[in-house]
Amino acid sequence: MSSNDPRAAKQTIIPKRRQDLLKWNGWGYKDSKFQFDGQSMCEVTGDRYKISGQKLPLLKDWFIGVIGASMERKSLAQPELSADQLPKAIINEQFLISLKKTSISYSEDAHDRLFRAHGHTMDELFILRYGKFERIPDIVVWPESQEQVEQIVSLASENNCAVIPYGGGTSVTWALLCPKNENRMIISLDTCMLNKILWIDENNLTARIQSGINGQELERQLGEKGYCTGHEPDSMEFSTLGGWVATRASGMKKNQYGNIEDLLVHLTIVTPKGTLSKNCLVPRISNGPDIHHFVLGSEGTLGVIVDATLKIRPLPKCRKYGSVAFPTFEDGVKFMREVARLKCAPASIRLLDNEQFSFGQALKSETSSMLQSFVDGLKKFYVTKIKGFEPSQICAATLVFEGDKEDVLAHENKIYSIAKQFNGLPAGEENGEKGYMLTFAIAYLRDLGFDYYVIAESFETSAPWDRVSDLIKNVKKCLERTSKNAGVQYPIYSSARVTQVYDAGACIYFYFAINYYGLSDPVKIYNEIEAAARDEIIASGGSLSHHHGVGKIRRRWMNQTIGEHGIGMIKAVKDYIDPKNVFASGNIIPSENADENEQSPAQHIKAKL
Amino acid sequence: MEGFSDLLEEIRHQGGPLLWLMQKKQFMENVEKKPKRSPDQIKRDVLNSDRLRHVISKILEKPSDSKPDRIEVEAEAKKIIDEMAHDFDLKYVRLLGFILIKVFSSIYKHIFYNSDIMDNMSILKHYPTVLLPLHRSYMDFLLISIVCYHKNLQLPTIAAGQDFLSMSFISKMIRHCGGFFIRRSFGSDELYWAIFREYVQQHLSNCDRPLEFFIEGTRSRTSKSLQPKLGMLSTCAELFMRGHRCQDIYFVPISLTYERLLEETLYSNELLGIPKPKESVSGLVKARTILNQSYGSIFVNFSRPISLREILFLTNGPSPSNSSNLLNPSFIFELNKDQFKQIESFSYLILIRMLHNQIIQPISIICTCLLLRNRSKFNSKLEINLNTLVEQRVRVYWPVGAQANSSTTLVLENLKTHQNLFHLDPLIALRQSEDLFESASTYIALCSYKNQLVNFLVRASFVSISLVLSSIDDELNRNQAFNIYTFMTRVFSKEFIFRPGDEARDFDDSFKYVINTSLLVERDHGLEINLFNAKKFIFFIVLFEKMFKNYAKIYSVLARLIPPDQNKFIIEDDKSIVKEIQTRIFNEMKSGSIKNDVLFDFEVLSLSTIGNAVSVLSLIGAAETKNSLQMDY
Repeated sequence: MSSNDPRAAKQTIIPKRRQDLLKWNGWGYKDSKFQFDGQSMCEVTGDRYKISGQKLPLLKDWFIGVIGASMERKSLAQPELSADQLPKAIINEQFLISLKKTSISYSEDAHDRLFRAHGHTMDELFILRYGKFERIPDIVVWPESQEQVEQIVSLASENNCAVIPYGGGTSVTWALLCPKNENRMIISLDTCMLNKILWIDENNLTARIQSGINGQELERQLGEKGYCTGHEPDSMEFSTLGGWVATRASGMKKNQYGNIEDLLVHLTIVTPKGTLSKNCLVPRISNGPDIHHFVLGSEGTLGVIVDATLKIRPLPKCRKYGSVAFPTFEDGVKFMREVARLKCAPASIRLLDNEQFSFGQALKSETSSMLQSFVDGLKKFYVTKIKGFEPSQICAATLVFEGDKEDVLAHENKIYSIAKQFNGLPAGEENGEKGYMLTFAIAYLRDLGFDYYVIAESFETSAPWDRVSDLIKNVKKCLERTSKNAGVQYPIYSSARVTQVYDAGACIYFYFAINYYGLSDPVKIYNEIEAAARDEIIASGGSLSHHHGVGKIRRRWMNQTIGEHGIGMIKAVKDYIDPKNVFASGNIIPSENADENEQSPAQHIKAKL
Repeated sequence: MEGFSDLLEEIRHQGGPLLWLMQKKQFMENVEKKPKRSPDQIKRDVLNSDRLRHVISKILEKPSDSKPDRIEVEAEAKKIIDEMAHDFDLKYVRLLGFILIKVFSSIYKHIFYNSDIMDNMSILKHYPTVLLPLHRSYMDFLLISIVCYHKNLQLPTIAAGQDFLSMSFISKMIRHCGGFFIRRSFGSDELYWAIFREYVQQHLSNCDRPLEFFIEGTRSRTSKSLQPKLGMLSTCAELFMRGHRCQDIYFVPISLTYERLLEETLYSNELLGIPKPKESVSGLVKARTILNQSYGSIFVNFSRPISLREILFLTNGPSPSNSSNLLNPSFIFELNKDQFKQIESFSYLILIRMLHNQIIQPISIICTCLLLRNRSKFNSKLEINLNTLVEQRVRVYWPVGAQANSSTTLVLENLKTHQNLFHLDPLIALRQSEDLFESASTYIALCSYKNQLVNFLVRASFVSISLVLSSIDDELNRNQAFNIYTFMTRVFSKEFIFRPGDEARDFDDSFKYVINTSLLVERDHGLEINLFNAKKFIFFIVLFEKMFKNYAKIYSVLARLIPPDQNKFIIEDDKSIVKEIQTRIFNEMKSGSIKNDVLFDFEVLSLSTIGNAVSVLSLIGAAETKNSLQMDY
């Protein structure tokens, strides 16, 4: 990884006992978190990130001023539940006997099982902090090779067990949740030991990689050889190759490197029917419908992806951040559209709305010197007074350029000259970098919010260019309106960014937070609001999801978005490849029980008031 | 009246019209602070819109003999928008406002507007807003703009018919006050439709000022309501329906009631077929004589806004059927049948809301009672149980003294404003004339006040009648009654406002009303009329008796016009057949061969009644007509 990356830079191998390194009831590393110190100054603990060890003096004001939180009103998480408080495992003796005959490592430890019972939606964390899961996996297995995966799947199939594959656990779709009424033994198949790069082919620029490797480790190992995949989803510290394929992931630098489906040359998946793969490593193929596309986005319902062959690229010689400020969001959208039209998007280009831009400002660390704050003041004066930008309207595009030095410079010039046509002002490298820092910090910040009655979530969509602006406006209005109707007593925080550009449209990413103090049913209300927002997105011409996927949280809209024949096709594949429903996560296809589709797993948990 | 403020009084308090108008204005702004566009900028934006470019290229691609070139079509587009667009300018609003307030203060006693107007209109700050007033008079839109001005609400952009276009001065003034002109009909003129839609929708989506139009399309001459027109409404709704170009649109129903209409005699003459004078400046000057009289009080009621989203989106939810338009770019959109149905149903919902929010003035009640039995002389007793009105949620404004039931003073005081229609001494009597047409004209003017009330009462009346008609051996039969009720709502669908699909609910509500107020009582063998309440029940039974008889008369004349061997007939020329029927009835009346007192009243001569009776035939299918004749006799 290049040195100016704001993410964690230390080499970290995810251990089998994940809870030793990672929080059991929150995001990320145990040693890293945002917290308010005695003087209510926010500090970032640990030393993994560029922001680590710094003080953020403005965050408290944002926290109190924008979202109405109070330092006195705390909603701390419950202590870790003991093993006997967690659901008892359902044990299939036959399976266990057969498993013991193999050399596959496994665990029946309650905390290991709990760790793999969930992803990272607000609801799941709410359960961890304040409630209890009704159903968690009954055993965790750690295969280390394709053969071991095949063994597990066939044992599960023979002995009538269910399997839920587990990669990085960063799912935000309830995809990892065990169906409540699954009475078979549920095996959580953790892929973290399948973490090797099998080979690198420098002629064809491809690499075959086991599916359990996480993004950070993959890039680090390839980097040592002078290569990268360029696939950097926001969750890349933890999310794995298998998970990317299974959810159709998208990385922030997809403009330069492509999304996962563009990077994928070949994959191997172990299914109840057997192992599926193709016979050649070719750049493109006309061979009937592409079987890769059955697997891409299958969300663990068909089998376990054991490895994938990806395209790789030589590491770029130069990487540079940048940013542009626009007087209004509409100007920014026009700029993004123009960049897409000219097909000259830098590796990453994102447009933050005013709310997110201001939030970025709230994350500023203690300005190191008098001079710095003087310069900041001067900049503000220039932008608002001389250029006439309205502070409540300003938004910013953040940029990452990668390539050879001279190409990067030329590219920069081009982008800044386009920006100028839409009243954009270059706003410096630092602001650009801050923007990207926000994306990994936000997940940690959510945990901080949890401590103060604030719940937050992100959701995303994609839309054609001509509907982008209206969609964002509509969704924000919808959030505001539904929250008010639902009885939320504090101003909500909603923010959008245009986070990927395409020829025919864009990906839009929303943050949404509410202060639920005073509500007894926060999760239920939150889910109603998010569902209303999704209805609004769909009615405004947006997709069900751009890269998060469907899981169980969005399956209720499947019929409406792809029609019954669409669902029929997906079911037909599932029925052929997994007739006994071994891969029983229940993702994608709507359950026949309508309540099950709509109810949050945390619905029943009341807030403590 | 409680809950209402008097505009004229407030202006007097603020030092008179001049000071009132010269005040510095800070109008309520939309929170989104979209850039303000000049009228010319709006025109340019419309002409440069994606939609217009798309339609123009479609027109150019069409195989046709005339082969228009792009320049011609663009010139045509320019012409259309120039003819259409408003030229809003606050200077002129102030000028006109001054003149109007001067005039209004002399001819009106009070102009009341509801005091919670600001609560209802605060929606302007957040959403595109459409004002929907009832259309009874040319005064309607002037009054609304004046009230908006008074309350610092952005003045509306008003859709007006092209009637005024021939008077360049007046039309200029209207444009300056935010009016824009649309043709009365433009059928399949693609270019016109595109410009019209784009123009209207840009106003909505930019929401700097509210939009205003008349859902009835034109002034109702009878003071009943005209059936809702869907052109403007669907154009507004389209913005929401084609993939949510906006998150919601709010409609504010505005109900206006006049104690005495300026156009009173004009309307009744027009209804009798005495031609409407073409709007002209000299005509307006002549109208000055009108201005020496008193026209009583006016009520302007800005009701609670109705959310389009809550009606369309939340009840039906987004689904492939209503998101199919998402497969087109946002500038290509056509409403499908279902969507059109939804809008139609929505239009009735709004219109009924508007009618029910009318503040009824005593003259309407007095006229209802006077006309209940057709006599030329009346006593001052009100033959109505005022509780009936309360029960039907009619809000009445009683200006004089107590709410004295059947008080002579009350009747006399309220008739003073209407001395042109009545003699008050020695007995209350309609002004009669040797000329039958003139008498009819006076009578029909009177009807217009009665008509303000009809939509409140029609359901209870029809249900009562249907219950009576359905009785077999003195037992009232509810199911049969419902069938009769539904049939009645269809036959008289042009006279009243019934929301399609609401028949069962309306029937149930009124049925419950009849039972709960003990007009009918349930006995072992069925329903029975409560003899202690018979008077009240009979009021409902006879309320529309004249109208039934008028229809019967019209159909009997019509029947004579049809060749006997035909089962069904085709009405080739609506207008001439209506005229023909009117002439025949008129001649019969003149010759004295029929006693109009007994069978029908002067409303039978109204072209509106005859027209409605004739046109409804094609709606319900002529075969069913015979049935109706039998039933009413």
